[in-house]
Parts: sequence; structure tokens; C-alpha cells
Amino acid sequence: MFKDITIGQYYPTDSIIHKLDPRTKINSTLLYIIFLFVVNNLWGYMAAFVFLAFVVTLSKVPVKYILKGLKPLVIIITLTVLLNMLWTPGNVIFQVWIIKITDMGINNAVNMGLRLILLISGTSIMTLTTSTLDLTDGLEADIKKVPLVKRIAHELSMMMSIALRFIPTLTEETERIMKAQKSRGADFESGNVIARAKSLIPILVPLFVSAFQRANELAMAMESRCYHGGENRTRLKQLKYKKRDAWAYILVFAVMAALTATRFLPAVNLV
Amino acid sequence: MLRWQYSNWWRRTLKRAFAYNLFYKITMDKLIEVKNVTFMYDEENEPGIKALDNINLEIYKGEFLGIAGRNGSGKSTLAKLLNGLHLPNRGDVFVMGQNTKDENKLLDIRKTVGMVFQNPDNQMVATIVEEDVAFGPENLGLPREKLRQLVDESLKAVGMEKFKDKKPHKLSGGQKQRVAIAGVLAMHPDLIVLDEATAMLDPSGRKEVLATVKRLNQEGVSIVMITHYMEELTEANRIIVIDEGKCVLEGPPCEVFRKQELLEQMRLGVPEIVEISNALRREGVKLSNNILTMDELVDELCRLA
Amino acid sequence: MSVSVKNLTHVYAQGSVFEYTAVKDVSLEVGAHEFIGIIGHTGSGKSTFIQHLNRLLVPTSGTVVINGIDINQKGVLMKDIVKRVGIVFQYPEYQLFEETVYKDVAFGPKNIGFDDEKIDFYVRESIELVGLDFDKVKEVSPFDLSGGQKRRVAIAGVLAMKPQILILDEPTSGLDPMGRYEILECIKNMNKQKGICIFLVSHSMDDVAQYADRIMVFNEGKLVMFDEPSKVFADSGKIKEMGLDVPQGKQVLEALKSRGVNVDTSAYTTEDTIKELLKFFKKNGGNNV
Repeated sequence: MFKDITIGQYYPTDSIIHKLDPRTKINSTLLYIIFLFVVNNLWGYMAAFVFLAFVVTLSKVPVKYILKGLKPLVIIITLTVLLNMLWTPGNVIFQVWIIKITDMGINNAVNMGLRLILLISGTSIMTLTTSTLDLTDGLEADIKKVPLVKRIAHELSMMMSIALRFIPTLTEETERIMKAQKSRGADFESGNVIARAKSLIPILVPLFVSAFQRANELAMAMESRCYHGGENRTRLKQLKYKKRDAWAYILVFAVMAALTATRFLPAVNLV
Repeated sequence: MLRWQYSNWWRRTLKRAFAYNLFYKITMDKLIEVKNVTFMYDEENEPGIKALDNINLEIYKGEFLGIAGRNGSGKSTLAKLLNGLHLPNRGDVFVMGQNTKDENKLLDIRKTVGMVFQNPDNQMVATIVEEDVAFGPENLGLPREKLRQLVDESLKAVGMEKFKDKKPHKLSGGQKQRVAIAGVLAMHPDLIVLDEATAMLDPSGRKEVLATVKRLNQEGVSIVMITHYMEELTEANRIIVIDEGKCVLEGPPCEVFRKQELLEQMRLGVPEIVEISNALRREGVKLSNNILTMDELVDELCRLA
Repeated sequence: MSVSVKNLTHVYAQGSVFEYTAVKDVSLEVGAHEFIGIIGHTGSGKSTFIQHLNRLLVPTSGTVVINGIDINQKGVLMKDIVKRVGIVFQYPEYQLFEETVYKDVAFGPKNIGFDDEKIDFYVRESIELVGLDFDKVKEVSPFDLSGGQKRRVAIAGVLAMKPQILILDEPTSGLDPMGRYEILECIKNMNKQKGICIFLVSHSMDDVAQYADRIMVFNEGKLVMFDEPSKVFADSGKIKEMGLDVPQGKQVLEALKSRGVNVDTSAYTTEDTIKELLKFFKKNGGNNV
């Protein structure tokens, strides 16, 4: 049942956020990330949090899915918080042995922790509401606007979509080869690291052989369907901004302005 | 020894097929002409090994041509020469009068000659069925409205319109191959070459594909069906048998199937119905010579009983 | 060696939205030297079923007993199971990975702990059993062989582990008619000469009808029939209902019968059909013969 794995973490439902153009979502997320670093006090984080909560409510994605996105990053977040807390100079609040906790340290730690959590939840909401397919299309459209890389925009997106297309095929294949080698007495579970790495050879060699063969056949199939690069190519599905995207952009710009404005509010010091 | 037999057979078959070929030549337009083609995969390192050896054949508009041959006979190589995926080392291939060696005509040639391959998983490009069907016309740079129309019409032609939003890996083998056919159809080809397109399918998938191909042929699309199962070629107008890179037999199915022994020497067989009728005929049961299907056999036997 | 399966059920992704019962309450007994054919359309549960016979899948409920040992019991080693039950999957040539044919065929026997002398003997024996010339191919890279030869090497790789039960999933798919015949004859020899118990999964009714002693018919996860070919194909209506074909010869006989020609419809192989038809036409109406 490996077949049902989906890459990314798309949560299919029908909401206004799902319906937004992928470019709107990608660009807004980028803006949001940039402005998270502009924010420098608690007011700002609170504003960002309110905005995020608003988007989450609109998206109809259960909060537990967003928390799930945070889970694998708990270690990184904790590490960042600890490092900031311990290595920032300032007025020492208390000290155990050589560990000094300063007021600035606590402030920095809270700032960085909040920033990371908001950043990750923000990106999750984008990947949760945009299918991988739309994401590639959106990225392609965006990359086309970037001066240096726009020449390879088509190639990049073609590569991405072919990779997506072959992930289920190759996971299935891996599963099949593993079963075949297991039936020949191969053991992938016991032994030390070197033995285990070695035991992967009977899976990796056939997998690579078949992947190359697939690539070769796919190239031939594409060629015989008149593929000749991105030149003069049209698309069945074209991204088209709708009215709601305009509203979304206006809202996002307004929120970003508000986030910038919070810099001028008096700082709230925790300690 | 084997060679000698082949060439002898070949000469006799040629004579018999002559009148038949003549009929095609007068009444039908030539779509493809393969002239004295020799093809070697690795001329530098293995100069003697010819995948195809001096092949000559013609494919006509509207016909259903079967090309049969054992594994490694060169039949798939031949398929890849028909739309310029391979270029002959010697000789020429002309598609609608244009040489496949002419690079400027390659897109035209590939638009005319569509190709469906063996492994359904390795010819799907997109992650959604309708986008995959659109791939060919997209490459031709057609406007969006036209793309939409072509995609809808081709999916309908293979009976897959209900699956247009599905992911390809959720489809059965037969459905995938029908999508692949739709992808080719969307470029409005004159000829579709099916290069062992049924080899990896289960019986029901095979039936789906054969029925689709038959219907398309009735609607005027020429078909080249490459296979090693003769039972898939009972509907063909003409069968060419390839062995060791050479054309060994040519003629309408009933004529080719009568040479059961020769076919078996070439590691092929005849459809089971033909096998039964050949065996009965050998034992003196007076069956007619052109039985191809179960119904025909049963009718004949009822007549005799 | 015998196989005894009791109330085997397998549910995929239990408890999730994808929950799907692939095998439902299958019970059966197979003797030591039988040749079993397995038929059923795609998705009928036959592939899931065979993977239980060497513990690639663990039953959701029910037991699989091979030669008196419940293979899902604690303490039974995978090594000891695969030593007795070999599986050749569809398109087995995709499992080849070694530099030489010899090394590839020796992979299985090495894994289950045979000594070098034994390995040498069994590798040679299995390569010859699948109809290849040992001295010619042993040092060749498996990737340089033709498709049909690769498949034989892959089958030899499983045979070299000396299984008493050999399961083959569509071993002839993609091969030309003669290649198919050769592989099937070779499997028949393994059964007749070496006494290996064979489970042959196939989409070709004609092949199964011709080679199997008994046939399992799977439909919607259930084992609906398990009997001799003559009995399985006796009710062709039932077989067709499950989306399967009846051997063509049999169809001819039945069509004749339904049109009032009084032939005996019990034959199910092509050979027997021809015999029956000849018998009939020689007996009745000598003027037509």
C-alpha cells in the first residue's frame, strides 16, 4: 500500500485558500517569511499569529495537521531556543555553574522560537492547501520571472513533474524488488551499519538498472510525441489570476505593512 | 539450413503475395516506404550484428498491418525506424514521401506516425490523465482552446473520458494503454504503431486495447500492430513476419497461419482456433482454408456435422 | 512436505480509510508433489495469497502450516522458510544484480548458509535445469543476456536454494510462444523429475489446463474453487462470470453442443479437443472426412 503515499502533505478539501492561485500562495508565503524577520517584538508576533490563525480558519485544515508539521522540527526549534538562551550576553539573571542565563538571552530565545514556529506553520499551510502539481506550476510561473534562471524554468518544472510522476512507480518497484530479494534469503534488518549498507546492494542495483531503463523509454516516448524542449510549447492548464487573488494580495500587503508598523511600538520585555 | 528454408519459403510467398500486393499498390495511398533498410545498434564495436537486414516494405493508408516476430527478431527496432527514433545505417525510410533522415521534417513525421510502447508506466509524462493526453499537442504549440477540444475528443475516442482527472498510477494496465493511445490520437496521426503494446497486460487489458485499436482502424486510422501473439492479428489486413532481421513471410492472416510449421520454427505459433482447424484439415476433415475465428470454425463444423 | 492453510484472511491498511480485505477466509491442503495452477483476474487476491506462503506477508488472521510448522510462529527464522518455499515473482529478471550469472544464482544459497561445495553443485544444477549452458553463461554478466535468458537465470537463482515448494507468478509473461512453451516444460520437469511442488499463477487458462493437477480459482479474495481441471472447467458459465476465460478448445466444443452437434464437451486441452473432434467426425459422416 505504498502507492497511497503522497509527497508533500496536501490536505484535500474545498476552501477559499485551496482555490487561490498557487502563485498567490507561494508569493504570499515568501512575503510572510521575509516580514517575520522584519518583526522584532512580541506585538509583531502576535499580529502574525492572528493573521495565521485567520488563514488557517479559512483553509478548513484541522489544526492538528499543522501541529503535525511542527513535530519533526521540534529538535531544531529546541536547539535554537537553547543556543540563543545560553550564548547571548546581557544582564545575568541567574547562573548555575558556568551556565549563565541573561535577560537578552531569554528575549532572543523567545523571539527565535516564535519566529520558527510561525515560519513553519505558515509554510505548512501553503503545502497543505496546494497540491504538488499546482505547486510545480506555480513555481514554474514564478521562476520565469527571475532574470538569471528563467531560461531553465521549463526544464526545471518538467523535471519536477516527471519526478512526481515516477515516485509512486518507483516506490512500488522498490517494494517488489525487496520482496524478491527477501525471498532469496536477503536480510536487511540485522548486522552492523556496514553489513546493512551492503545488504542494500541487491536492491539498489536492480532499482538503478530499471530506473535508467525507464528514463530511456520515457525519453523515447516523449520524443515520439514531438517533445523538443520548452520552445513554442503551449499548456492545457494555464494559471489565471482571479478576483480573489487580487483581494488576497491586498490583504497580504496590508498585513505586511501592519507587521512593519509593530516595530515602532514600544518593546515588551519579558524580563 | 534454416536460412535456406526461409529464402525458399520467402520466394514462394512473394509469388503468392504478388497479386495481393499489387491490389494494395493500385488502390491505396502509400503512407510509409521502407527501402533497403539495414540497421545496426553498434556499428563500430559489433560491425557484423544487424538488427535489421535489408528490409523493404510499404504501409498503406487505412490498413491494419500486423508485424510478428519472436523476442529479439528485430520487430521493435523496425517500429522505431518508422518515426525516426532510429535512423537506418543503410537505406531510407519515407513517411508521406519525407525522409526520416531530414531533421527539419521530424516533427511532421512524428505527428503523422504515433507510437504506443510496451510498458504503460514508462510513457506517461504527466501526473494527471488529461494533462498527459495534452502533452503531444502542447509540444506542437496549439492554442489552448484547441488543446481542450483535442484532449476531450481523444479521451472519448478511447472511452476514458471519465478518468480525465485521475492519476495515471491508479489505473489498470489496459486503461493506461488506452490513455497512451489517446495521447497519440490527440495529434491526429495517420498511423498508430503499437510496439508490443499488449505484452504486459492481462487478458482483459489486452482485449480493451485490441477493441480500441480495431475501432480506430474502422474510423480510418492506419494501424501497425507489433506482437508475438498471432491471435492478436486475426483482424489484420496483412501480416509481415520478421525473423533475424529479415522479412520472412507476408500475406493476409489466413495465408500466413497456414504455414504453422514454419511459424513454429521461428518460435511463433498460430491462434488456437487455427491450430485446431489445421490439425483437423491435416487429418482429412474438409474445412475451408480461411478459418480465423471461433465462430467461423463452429459454423464450418456445424455444416459438416 | 505439505502446505496447509487455515482460515487465512489478509486486510491491508487495517483501521485506515484505505482498509481493504484482499484475502478472505481461505483454507486448503496441498500435497508434497502436486502441480497447482492458480487463476483469477487481476485484483482477485491471488498475489496476496501466495506472499503468505513464505511470510512476505503475515496473515491478519488464520494460519499457514508448511510441513507441520506454523511459519508465523515466534522463533521461526525467515531463512528457514525461504529455504523450503521459493517465490519467483513476475518479471523476475528485474531482481538480477550481480556481476556474473554464477554469483547471482549463488546469492540465495549463500544467504541461507549452504557451504561452498554445495553452492557450486546447486548453482550448476539449477542453471542446467532451466535450460542454459552452465560453462557458457557462468562468467557472463546477467545484464548482457537476452530477455528470455535473464528470466531463466532469475528462476535458477530461486531453484538453487533447493526449495521443495516453488511458486511462480506469471513466469511466461512477455515471452514469445516458444519461450513460453520452454519455460512451462521446464517447470513441468522440476515437478515430474525433482518432485518439487509447483504453484503456477497464470492468466492463461490454456496453460493452467494443460499443466496443473489441480486448480485454485480466486475471486474477490475468496478461494471459490479448488479442484481438478476437468471439474473446474466443467461449469464454464461460472468461470466466465468471474471474468475469466474457458480454454478455447472447450469453447468450440460447447458452442457445437449448443447448436445441436452431439460432441462430448469434457475435453479441456487443445490436444484433447482435436482428438474429440476427429473422433466425432470420423464416426459420423465419413463423406466429409
